[in-house]
Amino acid sequence: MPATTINSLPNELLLSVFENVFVEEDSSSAYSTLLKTSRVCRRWGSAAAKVLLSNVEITRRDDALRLIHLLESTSSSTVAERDQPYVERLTVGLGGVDEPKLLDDQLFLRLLSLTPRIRKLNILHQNSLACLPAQLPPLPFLSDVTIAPAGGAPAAMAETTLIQQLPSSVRFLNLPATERTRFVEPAKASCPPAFKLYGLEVQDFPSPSTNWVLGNSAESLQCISAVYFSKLAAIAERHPNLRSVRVLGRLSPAAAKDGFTKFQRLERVEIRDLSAQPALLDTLPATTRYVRFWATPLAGKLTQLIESNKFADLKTVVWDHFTPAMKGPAAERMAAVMKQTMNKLQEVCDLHGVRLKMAERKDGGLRAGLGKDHAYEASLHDSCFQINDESVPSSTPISSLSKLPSRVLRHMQCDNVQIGSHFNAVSPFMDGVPGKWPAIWEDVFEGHGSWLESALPILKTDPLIAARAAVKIPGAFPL
Amino acid sequence: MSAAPQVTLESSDGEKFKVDKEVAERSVLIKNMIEDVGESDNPIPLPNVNASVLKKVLEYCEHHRGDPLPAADADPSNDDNRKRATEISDWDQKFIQVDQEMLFEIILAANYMDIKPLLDVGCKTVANMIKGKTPEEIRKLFNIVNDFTPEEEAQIKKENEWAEDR
Repeated sequence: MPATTINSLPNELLLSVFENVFVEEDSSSAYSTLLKTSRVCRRWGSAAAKVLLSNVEITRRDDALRLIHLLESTSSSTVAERDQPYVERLTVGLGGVDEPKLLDDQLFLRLLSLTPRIRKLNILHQNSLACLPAQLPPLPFLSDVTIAPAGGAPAAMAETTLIQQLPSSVRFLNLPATERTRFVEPAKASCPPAFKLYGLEVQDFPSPSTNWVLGNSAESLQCISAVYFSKLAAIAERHPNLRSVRVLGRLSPAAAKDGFTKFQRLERVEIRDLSAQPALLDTLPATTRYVRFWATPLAGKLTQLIESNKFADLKTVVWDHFTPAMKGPAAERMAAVMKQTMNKLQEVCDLHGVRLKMAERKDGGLRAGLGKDHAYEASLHDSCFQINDESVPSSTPISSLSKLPSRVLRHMQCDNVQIGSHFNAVSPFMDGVPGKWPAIWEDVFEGHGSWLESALPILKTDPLIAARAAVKIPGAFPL
Repeated sequence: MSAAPQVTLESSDGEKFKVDKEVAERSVLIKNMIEDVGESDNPIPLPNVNASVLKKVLEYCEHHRGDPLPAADADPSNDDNRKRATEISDWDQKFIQVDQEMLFEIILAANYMDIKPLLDVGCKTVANMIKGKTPEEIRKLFNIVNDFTPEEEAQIKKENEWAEDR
């Protein structure tokens, strides 16, 4: 009997192998790998071309023209002769007149007319009204859409026009831009899009524009992901069939207070909010099957709830923990506390047939709070202090940032600035009120980064913080 | 306390394996067969899987017996699931460290027995073997003959030009 080799795999399995190349790698590496595999032999050439074509990512005008030429000539193509490939997932970068190297709306429409079977569409645009098409060709299989301005800019007004053109087949919509300018014109307000969504991912929820987007989806909506949630109770009442909630940033104080009590069918919850209080888990319904979280204090609470059989159907717990790259007695004590918490949770999960998965976060996480009249967010990435998303040169003295209006501060990031040596200067972000410092306190005790040791002398000078520290990690910060 | 219900599986070369029903039902094929014909003492034949491969597959099923089925905790709104579904755990990585013949046998068996997580592990492993290699290195690794004519190779290259230079 001949040995089993890769040639023994039927075409469908060879395609699965190549699809995995695409899933695992970023798109440029995946393209590179698949281009090489396409030159191995005829059979691989056909399979690789099919996978390449099913995952099209086009930002440059020249590439779009080449692809259009290929799609227009498929009848004479060696690719088409073997097994008609088609574009299933399409990602485009749209530029308009200001970005001649990117696709404009006309070229995009031409491409769309050649890809009528797309299931997933990602549109990255330059926030220019001119670059987004006002009307789409028929796309009867389209189910999953992302519309995002480049560079984390706020949404464009034209997005609402485009959303209104989406076909009724759309089920999942991702609108990652902030809501400030994605307003709905009064004329459109009473005319929501045709689709009924199963899933929506946005920055702020709910908002006037998400209310409009979900005009026909009150009953159908099952999954919602948002960076900033407010009014959880109202959301649960409006969307009674929600079974999945992903908190990607933070809960507003009101939302945290509401909790998930009113979500009668909730099965899956993900809480990427380091400030989330353990009591929030008390509000999860008994229907919960999957819990994913970041904050260490939630682990202890979850352990108790599983032990008390609160969740009869709980199958999976995922803890995205963070292991700080730091040394010293404080770090050792924190590591010991973390390990003890992990072990206890593991033990209880094993006893109750729940799968516990530990996933390591790559950064220190996100911490957020509310000022008097604005929101701010601070996060730690590889021991660098950051304020939201936008870069500020590392030479910028952090103290000077405090002079900027708070609206600007929301969109700044300080690379390579050690929080330890600038901890006092950070206080203006907390509205200059020492009592606000504890708002970022939980982050410190999540043990994020080597800066903690250097920050200790400064931390200890504030009696409020020192008191919190003494409670949080006994012995780590002796008063 | 009564013992867990068991079923007997019979490999293509006639070897019988008595395993817990819960373990065997990681295979959708077997689960459906049990549901269709009801529980019986007769062995379930698996004519496409030989004993050495079936033993290995059952080792995988035994280790993952308590895992939720793939759809149980998948959030369809989350595209990351596509990626996460293919993450290989440390145990799976060690499990799949086998020679090429066994690797492809496991993939074929996972496909036949409809064990999607195992199929994903196998396909992902092969994908990892391909990564970073030139066409010639891939041919050498898998003993593949280059059957392209120069014209066909040029044509393939031209057709995929849109994906170059990234």
